[in-house]
Amino acid sequence: MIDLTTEPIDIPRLVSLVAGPDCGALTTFQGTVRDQNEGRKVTRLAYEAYRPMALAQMQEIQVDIAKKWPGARVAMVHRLGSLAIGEISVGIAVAAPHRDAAFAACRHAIEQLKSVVPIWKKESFEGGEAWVGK
Amino acid sequence: MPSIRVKLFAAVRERLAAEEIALDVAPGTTAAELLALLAREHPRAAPLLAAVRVAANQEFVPGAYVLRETDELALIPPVSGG
Repeated sequence: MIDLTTEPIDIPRLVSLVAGPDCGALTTFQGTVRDQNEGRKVTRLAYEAYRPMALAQMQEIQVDIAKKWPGARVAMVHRLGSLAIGEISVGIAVAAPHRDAAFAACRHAIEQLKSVVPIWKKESFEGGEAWVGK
Repeated sequence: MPSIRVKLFAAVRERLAAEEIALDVAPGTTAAELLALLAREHPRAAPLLAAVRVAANQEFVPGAYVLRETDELALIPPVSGG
């Protein structure tokens, strides 16, 4: 399952979507809004996406994972809109027959998401705001 | 002369104050030439455009990609999801 949502991310729901009797391992990753970045006190983050391309790229990550780690299933959701400190910005759940694949595929999912999926965050901090990314 | 539309996002969208731009380009214009052309037209956006990747039909394309009128084009600044 792949999604972009303005609603809070429900990690247990992602877990239930990938869990199954064929999988002996299940890993999750959640990215949360941190209160500081590069020495600045962050107050909020606002996320935007090029929706159809972001969904297509997330789909490609999912297909890639199924190829690299046979039997692995992934659910991946990214939040859009304005988020407060501590809120979940991205949630990933991976179920796989064994733990090595579950850890590796989950890591792969977040690293790929951060490098190719067209989603951007704008940081609000004390005294200003700025787009993140270089 | 192909007439193209280009979607803008994040910092580039704000700098050019538009969600989409339309422009006429010479036949055979490539993705890299589009970025160079925009940088000349919008000097203030040039530093941002230097880091942008071009997407056609929701896939990243190389600089040598020849733009087509029917393409869904977008400028993708460095992504920062997660």
